[in-house]
Order: sequence, then C-alpha cells, then structure tokens
Amino acid sequence: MAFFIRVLLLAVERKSLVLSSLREHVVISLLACLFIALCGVPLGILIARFRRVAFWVIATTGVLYTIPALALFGFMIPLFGIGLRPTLFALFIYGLLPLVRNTYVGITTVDPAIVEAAKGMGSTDWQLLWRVQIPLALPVIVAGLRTVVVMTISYGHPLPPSSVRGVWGCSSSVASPLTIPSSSCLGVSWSLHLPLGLMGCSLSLKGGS
Amino acid sequence: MAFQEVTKEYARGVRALEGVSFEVEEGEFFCLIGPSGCGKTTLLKMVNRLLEPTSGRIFVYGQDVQAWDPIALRRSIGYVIQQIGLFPHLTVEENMTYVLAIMGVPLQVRRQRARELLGVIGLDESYLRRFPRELSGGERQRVGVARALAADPKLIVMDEPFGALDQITRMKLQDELLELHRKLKKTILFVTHDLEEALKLSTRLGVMRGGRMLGVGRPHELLLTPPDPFVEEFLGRGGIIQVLRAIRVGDAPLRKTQELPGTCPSVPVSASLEDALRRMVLAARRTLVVTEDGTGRVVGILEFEDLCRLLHRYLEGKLSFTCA
Repeated sequence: MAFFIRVLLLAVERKSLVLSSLREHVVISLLACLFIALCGVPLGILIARFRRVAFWVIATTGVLYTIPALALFGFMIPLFGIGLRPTLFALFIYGLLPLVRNTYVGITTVDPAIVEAAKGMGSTDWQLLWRVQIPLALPVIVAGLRTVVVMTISYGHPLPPSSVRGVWGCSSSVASPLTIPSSSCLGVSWSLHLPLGLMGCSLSLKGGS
Repeated sequence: MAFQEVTKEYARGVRALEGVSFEVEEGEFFCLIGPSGCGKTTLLKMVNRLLEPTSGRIFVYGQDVQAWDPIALRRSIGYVIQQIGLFPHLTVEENMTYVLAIMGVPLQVRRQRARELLGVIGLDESYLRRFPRELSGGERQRVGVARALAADPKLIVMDEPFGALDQITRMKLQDELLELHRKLKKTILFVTHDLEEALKLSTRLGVMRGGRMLGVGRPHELLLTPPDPFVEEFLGRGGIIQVLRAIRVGDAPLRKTQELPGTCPSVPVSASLEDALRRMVLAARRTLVVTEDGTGRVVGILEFEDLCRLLHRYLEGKLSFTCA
C-alpha cells in the first residue's frame, strides 16, 4: 500500500513530465501503428497474390521479430542515433509480422468456392480483391491490427535504453532522474502503461469477430 | 456451343479429357453425366475459361472462346456451382446482382432486377435484406440460380447444383428449374452424376467416362439404343420404371386422333411415360389423349398396348427404336 502511495506521489510531483511523456507515448504508438498498417496490409495482399515469395517474406518478418530489443538498439543507435526515428523503426519492425501474416492468412483462406464463383462470374482481379477477398478477410486482418496496437504500446517501454536521455516515451520520465529509487520509477512507468494497455486490450476485444 | 476434340492434359501426362467433341444447340437442356473424375467438371470449366484445354477448340455463341476476353465471356454465361458460393458478406439482393455490380450497372436498375429475380425463383421481397447464412439450403441454391440469371445470359452452366440438397428439396428445385427452362428458353449445360436427375431434366445428355465422351443423345435414344456397353450398363440400372420416366410422351409412338371413346383423361406431350401410366392407372383407362403444352390442342392418342410394346422391345434388347 505504502508503495503505491509513493508511486502516486511521485507521479503527482512530476506531473508535467508524466503528462508530456504520456502524450509522446500515445503519439509514437499511433504513428508506429499507422506505418505498420500502411505497409503491412498491402504487403500481405501482395504475397497472397504472389505466393511463391510468401514464405520468404513471412520468414523475414519472423526473423526481424526475434531480434532482442536491446540488441536492436545496439544496431540502430549507430545508424539512426537516438530519438523518434529509431524508436519508430524498431516498433515498425516488431509490428510487421502479425499484420503481414494475418493479412496473408485472411486472404488465402477465403473459401475457394466463393473465389471460384466470383471469378466464374467475370470479376476482374481487382474486383475479386476489393469486393470479395478483402471484405471476407477483414476480421482476420483487423485481429492482426489489434495485436499490433497492443504490442506497440507495450514495446514502447523497453525500447529506449533507460540510461539515455532524450529518448521518447514513458520510460524517459522514469529513467531520466537517476536519483529516484528504481522500484518507484518502474511503478510510475507501469502505471502509465497500464491504462494504455487496457485501451489496447479493449480495442482488441471489442466485437472480437 | 460446340466442343471439338477437346483434350486436357495435366502435368506428368495425366489426361483428364481425351478428344471430346459434341454440340449443344440453342435452347437445349444438356446434361453431362458420368462417374466422379470422368472429366465433366473440367469440361464445364473450360466453357468459361476457368481452365484452358491443352488442345482442341470450344465455341460459345458461335465464337472460339480463345477469341473472347475471358472477363466478358464469363459475364455472358450464367454460372452455378455445387457449393453455391454465395458471398457471405453480401445480402441476397447484392448476391443476386453481383454480376451487374461488377459490370457497372447503376444501383436503381440493380434494385429493380433483384426484385424481378426474386419473383422468378419464387421468394418474396423480405429476402432481399437477408444474408446467405439466414437461408435454408434450398433457398440458397435458388438464390444461386437467380444470381446466374441476373445479367440475362443465353447460356447457363451448372456444376452439380443440387448435389448437396436433400432428396425432397432436390426434386422440388429440379421441377422449378425445368419450369424456368421452359419459360426462359435458356441453353443450359448441366453437370451431374445422378442418373435420375439427368434423365428427368435433360433434353439431351452426354455420358462420359475416363475423360471420353461415350454417347450423346436424347434420354430415350441412349436408353433404348445405347452406343456403348458402359452407357448401357450405366443407364440400365433403373429398370423399366427408369425407362418410362426417361421417355417423354411426345417421343413415344402415338396413334392418330380418331373418334374418342367418350371422355378420355389427357396428358401433356412433355410429361414422362411414367406420368402417363400413372394417369391411366388412376383413371382405370387404357387410352390417353395427348395434348400440346399450353394450348391444350390434341396431338394424338397414347394406348397402353403401345407402352407395353415399347417396354417389351427394351427388355428384349431390341436396339432399334423409332418414333412412330
């Protein structure tokens, strides 16, 4: 109990920092999700069309997904420095797999009888895609997107190495004043993530078709 | 529609079709029948170019399908498949008018057409807003047929459309389809493995096995003068009831109209001999007046003795049969 009160007091004491970090976290998560959606869905559709490369594309996104966060930063700090860009890039890499895979699976598992009927009635490839395949794959694609949203919000935390100043997201509010006892810091960080995570979860549960 | 020496070969030399040739006249109800894997579905899919023949040519509306743009070709042919393949995310109305939608027909016209089509298949307007999952199997298949009719194609190809339905629904839909064919005068190419269905529906049928066309003809021709031992065996399963069922009154030997002994029960020319026999038994008469469909004009007289003679010839294995 005392612990939670200390966490709360700390958060109140550093209200402005907490709020601005929160805003940053939301912005960065949304941006990352947007980029992932813009690339992931078309990529999934493309590999559903050209199935020969599908395995390789999904394997590649899978490999990217396995890179440990800390190791990834080891690569990226020399390349991008620190700040918004590497954070976005890292989130992008991690979020790609679920969306590409879900889009691909969603489109390729549409009932072949329905696809044949649509083709046999004279749909062009484009009409087949927009009028039949995408609408029918939409629940699976959206499920992928929800996973991405929750993942992106949660990954916003461990990505920026906490000892580096100027990184984005909630972690910075915890990490920057190194003088604060660490357990309380983590408490603040977690209490910031929790509502966001819950928002993400409620998004992913809503209409869970 | 015509097929000329159509052959389909898959990788590793597997031959699905070997030199199949036949023609389907305008307005015909042509059934392709044969055991599973005989190539009938393959043949059907070549009509709308879902599959391409390895060699040979196919003509639709008098033109080689290779000369057609596949999209335009498919839009001009109604297509019904066994699994129905209704779009689960679209309402009955949108399903029925899908072809019109992809052709860019305006919404108002599509709405109008959807209502007409519902009338054709005998469903009321409350169905327009329903989704396929809310329909029974029979209703779904009706919508599937309506969808094929939407763009008013002259030719409709059907791949075992009633295969997944229960016996009662299937018979009902068969009757409705016959009625539709009579009314709309479409050319229908119908694939089935159900002999009874083929004999009941078709004006002509083609029997296939192992990628070859073994015999083409009208049901009674194939029954009474089978061109191939397999056709004989395949068609001969049902016995004399099958024969009666397959032969239409108009194809049986009829006698010229004479003085009618009192009032006779009548039978339309398009009815089967089985139906004629049933009417004889019910009326306890040996004579039926044969009338033209629709007009009711008297065409001739069917005698019980002639029926017996016909069956006698069939059972004797006399292979010559001519219409009187």
